[in-house]
Amino acid sequence: MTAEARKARFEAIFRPHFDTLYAAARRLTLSPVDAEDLLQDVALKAFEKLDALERMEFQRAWLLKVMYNRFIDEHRSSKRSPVDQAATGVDSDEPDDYQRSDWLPEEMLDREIRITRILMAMKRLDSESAALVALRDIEGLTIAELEEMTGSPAGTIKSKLHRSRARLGRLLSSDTILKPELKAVGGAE
Amino acid sequence: MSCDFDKGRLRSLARGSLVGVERDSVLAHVDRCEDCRAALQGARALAELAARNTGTPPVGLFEALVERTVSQPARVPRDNRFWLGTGVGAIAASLLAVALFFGWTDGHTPTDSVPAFAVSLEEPRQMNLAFETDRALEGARITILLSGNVEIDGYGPRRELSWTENLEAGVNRLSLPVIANGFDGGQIVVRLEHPQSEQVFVVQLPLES
Repeated sequence: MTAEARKARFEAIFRPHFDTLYAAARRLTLSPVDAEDLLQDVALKAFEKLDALERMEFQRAWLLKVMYNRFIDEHRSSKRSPVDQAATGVDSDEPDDYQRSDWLPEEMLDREIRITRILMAMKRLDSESAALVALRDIEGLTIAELEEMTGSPAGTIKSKLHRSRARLGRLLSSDTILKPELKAVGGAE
Repeated sequence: MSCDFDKGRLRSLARGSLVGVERDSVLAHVDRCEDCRAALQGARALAELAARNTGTPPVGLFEALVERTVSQPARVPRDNRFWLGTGVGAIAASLLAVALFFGWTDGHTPTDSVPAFAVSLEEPRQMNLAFETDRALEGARITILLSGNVEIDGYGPRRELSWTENLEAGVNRLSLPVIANGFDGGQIVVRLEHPQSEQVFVVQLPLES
């Protein structure tokens, strides 16, 4: 198969899910550039698994699961230099939630910090739990869809979801997430 | 210990779809059940993420993404140019440098103070962070998160950077060129993770007066 043919197959698989994946990546990151990095990770994985992906019944769920796994396990950004980004010619304007004129800067900062805390807490879940709870509570997959995707019965899925939410809630209550629990032993200027 | 309460109602409450008596009954249960209270807090956090305004993909992003994917499937090495390695002697060389010193050892005492580092709108300032560990830590993950009106010079709007490093016993140094892009300053969070340990450090970045 030619490279062009493989590219066309990849586009046919990836394009229908692109907006969903972009939205998911934006929710999980703090800037459009980081979102693009995460999205690129998923695209590379999808391209690598193209043959298997074409045979899958739950392509969207699989792609989202890859994204959440990347987010937890491997997505550490910093893979692309600003020069590379400029070379793409892609306009990466800030999203609407950074442009709302009725927000005071202090409110924006508070919101950013709150979102950062949530994302950091999520990264402390194991990847399977994070993916499951995110597919349900962020992406809106039904319990039936999760049953089919995972092969687990509804009761098991519900229990796992509850445990993951409780773990996330406890992490957010904990002093170890973004509170100034600094181990500072000195400072100098 | 999990209770027998219908957990789906916690999710409904978090998403704002319960009202009146039903809402009150869930809140009453949550008041006396720590497990469900934690789950509700987690569900609310997830609902907040779900509600984030994500905007639409920039024009041309799909095509650029496909091109990069089909032409460069190999992984790009991660950036660790900020890492200066283990230092034995003086920490900072630049006149503008500030050293913030953290200990990553067992049994230390947390302090209430949050370090601050004044940033400038006109030029990047080198913020040097020094991390002390009492033993070598291989494969430690370093994550930098920025919020507010600050940037790492040369990285534009990127809010997160991360890579893996091997920390040696002693003082390990990280040097970040920080610049303000607005009048409110910001905050930087440095997270160090290792299977045996994890620390989060926060530094306030006010605009210089």
